[in-house]
Amino acid sequence: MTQKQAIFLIVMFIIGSSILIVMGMEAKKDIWLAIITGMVASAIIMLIYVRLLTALPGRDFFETMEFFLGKVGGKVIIFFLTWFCFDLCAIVLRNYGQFVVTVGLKETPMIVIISVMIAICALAIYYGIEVIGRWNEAFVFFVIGFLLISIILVSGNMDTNNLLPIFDEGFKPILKGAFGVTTFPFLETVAFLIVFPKFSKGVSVEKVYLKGLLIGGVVILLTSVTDVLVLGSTIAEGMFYPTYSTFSTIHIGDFIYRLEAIAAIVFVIAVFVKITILLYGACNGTARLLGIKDYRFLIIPICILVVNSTTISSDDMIFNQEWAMKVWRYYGSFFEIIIPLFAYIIVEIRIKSLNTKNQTINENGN
Amino acid sequence: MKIAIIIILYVIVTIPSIISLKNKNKNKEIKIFSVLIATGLILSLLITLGVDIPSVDEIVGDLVLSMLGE
Repeated sequence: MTQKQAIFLIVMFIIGSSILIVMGMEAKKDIWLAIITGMVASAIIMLIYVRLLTALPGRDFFETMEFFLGKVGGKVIIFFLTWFCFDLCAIVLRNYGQFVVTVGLKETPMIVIISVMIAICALAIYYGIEVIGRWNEAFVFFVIGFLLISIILVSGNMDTNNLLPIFDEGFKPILKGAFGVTTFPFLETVAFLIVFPKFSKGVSVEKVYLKGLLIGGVVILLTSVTDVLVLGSTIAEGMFYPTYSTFSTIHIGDFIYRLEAIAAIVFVIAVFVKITILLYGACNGTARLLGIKDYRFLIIPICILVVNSTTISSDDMIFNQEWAMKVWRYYGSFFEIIIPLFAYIIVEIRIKSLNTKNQTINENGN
Repeated sequence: MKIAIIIILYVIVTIPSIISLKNKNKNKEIKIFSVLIATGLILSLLITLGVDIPSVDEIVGDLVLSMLGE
């Protein structure tokens, strides 16, 4: 996989479901400050991910963890990240199903919608992460391009007063919003620890993560600020899909309107990439946990389990919205911050002790 | 009727994979595959029968919201 493909995968992953489900709304008019703060905080945590991926050059994350944390310790970390991918995949799939049922196919059972999506994702991961990377490289420009054009077209409906005054409610809502944005979507990229293959020489993992965060973050910033500028913070906060509603206000002349349909297509493309990456992480992680090199035979059973998990979860939209806004930040931060931080501390201690050992051997040898 | 459809779908999906794994003599993979498929089938049947299975998300949600005092 090339550096460019890896960056675009992170961009599309970040854009994913967050095009429609806007986080950080607690900050209301200061949402832009919350997102920027969230990006800075995420960049710091991402440097930990980078360190974990590059601690042992030429080895992937699984091998690195087993080397530094031992077989059991390494497998515990991999288990948590695999569960994270599996659970998040089910959540994103459920959000996708609910979105399609709400805005389009009202009579269609959700199980049909999510089964079709998961079948396409299963086919994509059967061909491997490199193929997903190449596919994504072609579509990321379409997604970003459409979003930018829509923002320009909707600019006539923007009211800058919706963002003023700054710091209207103090710092606390901004920090709350920043925490929300950090855990969804920025640090969900922890999934890439078990998704990225061994990179070839010359690929900078640091650049992959940080450039991906920067591009994805700017897109999220632009769409979220547009939502607040067009709808106002109070209305945007109370909506399930504020970006979809924002784009539905585009009405230029008598011929450019109903662009929310394209927003829905863009959402489907971005969500497809996100679900595919998470499913790949779940299959790859499970295979490595069980000591098997080829993950492909696990695709069908894991897809079935994801669909089951999606069906078991509540289909109450209000509960799910509350869950995403209030619960995810705590649940997600366990996998996104605490687990990588724990692994990072152990890796650093082990590297230090190994260096000291080598130094002592060299000194004794001399 | 629904249960019959689910079982038929599982058989259609599962058989080719098991045959393919057997041809490659991958016995460990067949065992793992069978356990996961069986879990999926049991869950699907329970869902179809209307059994209320608590999801991890709901348990975590209740726990976190009660800790937050909501």
